[in-house]
Amino acid sequence: MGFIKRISAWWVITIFLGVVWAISAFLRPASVAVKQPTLQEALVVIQQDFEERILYMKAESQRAAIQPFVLRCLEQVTAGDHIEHLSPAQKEAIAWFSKRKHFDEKQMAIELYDVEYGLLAWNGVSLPIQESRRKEPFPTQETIGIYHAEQDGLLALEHWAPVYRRSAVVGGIRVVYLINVPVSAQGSSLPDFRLEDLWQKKIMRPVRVDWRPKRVHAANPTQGVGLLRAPNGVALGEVQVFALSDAERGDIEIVRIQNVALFWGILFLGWLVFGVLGITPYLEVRWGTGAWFWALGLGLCSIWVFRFVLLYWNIPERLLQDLTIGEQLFNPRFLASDLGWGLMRSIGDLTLTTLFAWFTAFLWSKRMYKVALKPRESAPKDTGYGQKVSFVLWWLLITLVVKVLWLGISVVVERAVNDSVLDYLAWTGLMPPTTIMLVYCSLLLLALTALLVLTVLIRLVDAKGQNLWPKSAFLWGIGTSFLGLALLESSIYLFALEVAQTTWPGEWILLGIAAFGCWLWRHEPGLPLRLLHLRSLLLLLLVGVLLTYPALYHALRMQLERQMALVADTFAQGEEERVLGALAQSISDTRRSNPIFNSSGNIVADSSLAAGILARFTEELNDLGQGDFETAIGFFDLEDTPLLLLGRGAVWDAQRSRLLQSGLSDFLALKDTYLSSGETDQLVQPVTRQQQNEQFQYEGLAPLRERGQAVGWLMLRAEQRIRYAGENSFVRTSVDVIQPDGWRRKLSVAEYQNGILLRGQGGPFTKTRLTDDIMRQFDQKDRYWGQEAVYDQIYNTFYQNPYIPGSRVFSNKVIAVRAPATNPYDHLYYLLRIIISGLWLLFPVFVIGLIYRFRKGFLPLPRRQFRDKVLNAFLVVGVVSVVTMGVLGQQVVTRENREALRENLERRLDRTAEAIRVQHTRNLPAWEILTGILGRNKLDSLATILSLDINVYRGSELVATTRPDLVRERLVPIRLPIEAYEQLYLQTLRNAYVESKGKADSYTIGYRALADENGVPRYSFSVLMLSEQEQVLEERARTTAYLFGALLLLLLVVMVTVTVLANALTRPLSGLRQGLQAVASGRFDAKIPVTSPDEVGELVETFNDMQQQLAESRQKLGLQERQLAWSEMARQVAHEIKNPLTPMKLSLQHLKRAQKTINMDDAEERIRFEGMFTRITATLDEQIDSLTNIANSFSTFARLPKRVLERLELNAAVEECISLMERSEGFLLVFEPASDDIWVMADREELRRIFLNLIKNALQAMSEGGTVTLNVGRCIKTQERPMAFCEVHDTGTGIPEELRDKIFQPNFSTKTSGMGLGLAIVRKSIEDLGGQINFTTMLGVGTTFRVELPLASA
Amino acid sequence: MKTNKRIGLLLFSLLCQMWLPNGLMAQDDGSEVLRKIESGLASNDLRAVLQFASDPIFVRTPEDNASYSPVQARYVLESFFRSQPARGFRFNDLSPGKNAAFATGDFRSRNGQPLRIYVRLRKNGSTWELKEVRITAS
Repeated sequence: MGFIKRISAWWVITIFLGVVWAISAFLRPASVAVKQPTLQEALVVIQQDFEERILYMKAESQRAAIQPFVLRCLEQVTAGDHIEHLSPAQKEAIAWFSKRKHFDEKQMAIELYDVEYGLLAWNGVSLPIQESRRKEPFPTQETIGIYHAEQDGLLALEHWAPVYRRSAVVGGIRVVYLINVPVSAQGSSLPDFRLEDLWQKKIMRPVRVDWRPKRVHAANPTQGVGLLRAPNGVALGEVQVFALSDAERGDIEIVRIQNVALFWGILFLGWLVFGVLGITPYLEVRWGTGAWFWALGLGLCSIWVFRFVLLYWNIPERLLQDLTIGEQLFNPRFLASDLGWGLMRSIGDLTLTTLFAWFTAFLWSKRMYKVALKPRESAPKDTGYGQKVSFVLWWLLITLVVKVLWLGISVVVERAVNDSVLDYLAWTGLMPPTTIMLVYCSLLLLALTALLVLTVLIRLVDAKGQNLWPKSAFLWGIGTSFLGLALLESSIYLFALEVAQTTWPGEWILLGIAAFGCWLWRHEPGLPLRLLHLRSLLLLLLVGVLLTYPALYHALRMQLERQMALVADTFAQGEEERVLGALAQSISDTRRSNPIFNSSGNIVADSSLAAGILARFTEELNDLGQGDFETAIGFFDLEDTPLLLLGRGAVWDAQRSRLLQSGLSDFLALKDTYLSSGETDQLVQPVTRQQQNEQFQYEGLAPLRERGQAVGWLMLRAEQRIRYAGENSFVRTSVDVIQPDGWRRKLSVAEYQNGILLRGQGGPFTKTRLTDDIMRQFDQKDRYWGQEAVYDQIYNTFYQNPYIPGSRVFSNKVIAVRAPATNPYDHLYYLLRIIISGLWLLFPVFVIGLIYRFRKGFLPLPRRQFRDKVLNAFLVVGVVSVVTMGVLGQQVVTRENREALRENLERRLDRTAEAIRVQHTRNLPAWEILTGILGRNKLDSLATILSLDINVYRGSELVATTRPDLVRERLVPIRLPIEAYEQLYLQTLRNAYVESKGKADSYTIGYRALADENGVPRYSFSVLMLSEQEQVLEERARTTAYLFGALLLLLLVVMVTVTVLANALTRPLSGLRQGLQAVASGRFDAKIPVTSPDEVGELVETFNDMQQQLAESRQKLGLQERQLAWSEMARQVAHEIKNPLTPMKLSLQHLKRAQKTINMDDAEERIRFEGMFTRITATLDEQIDSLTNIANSFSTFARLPKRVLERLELNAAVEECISLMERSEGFLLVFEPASDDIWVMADREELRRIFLNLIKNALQAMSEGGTVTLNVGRCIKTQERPMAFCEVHDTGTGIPEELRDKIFQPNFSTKTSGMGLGLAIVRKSIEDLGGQINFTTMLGVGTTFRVELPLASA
Repeated sequence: MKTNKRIGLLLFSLLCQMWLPNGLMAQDDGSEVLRKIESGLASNDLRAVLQFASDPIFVRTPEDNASYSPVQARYVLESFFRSQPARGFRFNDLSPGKNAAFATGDFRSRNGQPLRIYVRLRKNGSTWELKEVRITAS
């Protein structure tokens, strides 16, 4: 398609897109108002959805109620404790309920109750019956209500379906369905779910639901207020759909219209960019070679303009925002950085930016590749001063480019780490989460982009210098660059240019790989295409990982070190701000909003009010996610009389005066502090003084004022629970601040005072005192990093000697924070994760490469190298082996870990049971002893001794726990899971193990039944090993990584070995091939060296022998042929010479006779003799000329003139010959040149002779005129050298069959004149030029001679 | 010669890129910082709010809760306030202190849900750092 046609088509499409965009941009809401449901319609949608959920619940309960064993079970229920007597029907019911899996266990529950609300069977989420419900009689008809979980505000629909026996209710099925999981419960294992949000999305309007039952029917559908009713008509809640104001509706419609307009805008701009990129080659053609720089710059800039336009318009974020993928890719809470004005403001933007960077680099490289390949004029090597300076400057430029590229990669990686919450180093398995995988792929692509740019740049400089600089200049140049890098790095560190500091030796690796790639490219021009092969892509992936990982690890290490320093700082400060903040907040809230004053302005000492305040305060503290807090509240009047004390340390007793004293002394001390501090509002602080009774960590005090007058005091106190001996809860707080999400990092913290260990948390700090070496470090500085080995594990430790708060004097404390150092196996695990992520990038590239190669005709390969076959076969076998062994190994490891975990759990269960048993001196059954220690304190003591978390169940109900925080988070089930109940009570197993799913991962809880003397379980308890399970998971991930890593290394070693072997095999075969080619071309001196003493070596030796014999045979044959040729030539010469000699002799004889008989005195005879003499001498001349021609012809055949090869354009050469011959009358010469220039290496004169001869033969073959057609072109691609052809076609008589074998023989001619050497000479010339000549002929039609010559190299 | 000049200019300009500006922020006392934060929240100017942010800063909204870098925190809060702009916001309760300061304020979201913003400052040396921003249902 010509340039004009393309431009015209482009303009048509551009105008079309532009018009559509303009139209869509000027649309107004009125013109494309989207039909939005009215308020009434929206209410109907919500109510229908609500009813459907209720119907579903009813269907579930019905499905359960009709089971025959349900009624039997309810009939067989006896009074008293169900757990003592499980009837067969109940057992059947439990088994059936435990198998009910088709509903979402996390969102629903189904339970069977008797009329006393005794739970008989259950499954699903734990939502125990509220106390208020238990006080009511058992429902006698179907009811639906709203369930409200007090602990976390969770809401659910609750459906009761009674079961009848002869019109009497014997029990019922309860189905609950979660409808609202509030924020406070969203940290738990429950899914994030709010029914309001779902409805809001459905109707595209804001929705608010009040789930309190309404007595007053305030429904007003036209105003968007409706009631959510149960089937019996009871209103369960009120739903309000907000009418959008005109402005809001307009906003929504405007957004919709904008999205449409932006979509067309993006198409239009993208098309413009495509046009700019497409036109740049033509600009170069039009404006000359120098314009390519500007044309290329224009094209590349347009790409980035497009990128920033996408960024400005929030594309594709705004188009994907309602989809899950949009939520993951474009949500800033995973990753968001302002680097590059928003190019990295989400994971999706980072990925897009790297794709754009790659595309830009690819286009630039493609253009530069053509420039690099352009033939340069040969010039003498110049090593003058100017060239040397130029040489150094070019390679220093490369140095700077390396630095800039590596700096760019480092900055992007650092931002990807610091401006994200992704846990890149989590030991969760080899397959990272999707978000991390995308980031890894983006960083890999960025590294490979940098590598591409650098490799092409080096290739350019190298190509530029190839004709100007000596051959070794490449190595000198690389050396100069390395040296330049070293000097640059030294300067940067010397001048403390922190902004330019990067990881070493990343730049060197980048430069080294690029230089190696360039060197390979020099020797293998087809390298870029070979990179699309699978093996090459795998190698590129490894190269990308090698480039990315150092920067990533460095950034992560820096982040961890910052965190460690932050932990040390927080620890050193000695107070927990968040707790103090919560304390201050609660005091403010209490003073502001709680009705603590009566009408006379006095403080109301209402215990339920105080309990509410305390509960909210405790909840606020527990919400901090830093464990469990105990709190206390106190109200005092102005005379310091305690009015009310509640919480820890306050026990209600009839003798109030004595008990209330317990908080008074603390209040007085705090009040003194308050008054002396000059505070006028509130005072919150950590407790530093000695406390008389209960120990608290934090306290707050504030005056209570009514109408501006002080009427009393409010005191709030808090203490974090210490679970295990030796643990300091504050330190746990510090650590939690840094790592609130996911499993805790293995950070250990300790405080030393005067070098002696004071307190610590995390892994044990085995140093009870600091060594002198460490203490001496603080003579000069306040912080110190060290590496220590503890029990074969290396740790990185950060020591800090903080200032005394409020001064610049060093304290006598040293804070130490320690984290395990990364060992080589850990590096292997991290590398594997990146490699596996990179495979997802590799796959589409491979597919695109396949399509590209197929379309360009490179596939299917006409011939595949033996080496490739061997390597591919081993690669496939290797990968299959790695995957198989890895998967099997992982399964084995997983099973073993599960077994180990169970064994651990079993040991813990045994220990716990034993510990319970020894609690009592009397020989009581364990379950009875347990009854006595179910108080929180005693259970906590037991847990402290065992260093375990214990939860006790009676039947299905949790009756005691040492971890109320985990119960709140629903990590410890409130109700015994049905699987555990089945195993312990039905199957009477001693232990049960149940997998529970948390937010991030699953964990196993072990249960042990404590049976009575009849073997009936009375209680059961569970132990949790969350931190140990984390370790097990980590161990599993580590082992899997080591396994896959080892297998991968093995695969690499195998591939390297196979490559060496394949090369060892194919090198001699290649040598043999070359030898055979040499033999085919008549060279017998190319002996192949024998390099291996094996069968291949023997083959080579045999070939060499064969070659020698062939040489000898050919020599003999040659001699014979020469002799024959000489004989033939001599015969021909003799024969040819005889022809003119005969008339010459006859003429001379005639002259002699005439001379003898002539009478010279006779004038007439004399005249007759003179005439005869003249004729005879003319004849002699003629014959001598003929002899001369014969001699010249033979000379030409025997020895051709010296050949001078040069690059000749074939079309021009043929055209020139045609122009010399086109004066032939009666003949038409037609020339069909090739569409582009075709260059061959030949002697100009010789080439002319060839074509002139062929044209002349063609003309001579057409005795009565005709057309001679010549056409020139390129031969179809073959694996051999690329060739050009020229065909000479005549419309003559054709060549008879019997003559076809002879026409190239010397001295063969169908003509009456000439020596018959023309075609023989032509063939010899063509063969000497590396080409070939053949012909096709058809009698009566014509003959076509085809000459093929090799193309000149670029 | 011309080529060498061009290369030299390119080298010089690339070297110049290595020198990046490094600015420092002036800090006020606790209440003044709280007022500036309040003003930033009222005008939805999160840059003004987060100019005092520590690294990391703890951000909690009804949708999520984590420690972020100041840059990331800005994007997270921008995303939140885009859908729930805090129009005419004021702190109800200011608690400045010697080393720590707190403040809370209420506002209504677009669908009428009452929300509370809690901010916590900490003094680090002579500068105040914003350590926490919490947005919860009130």
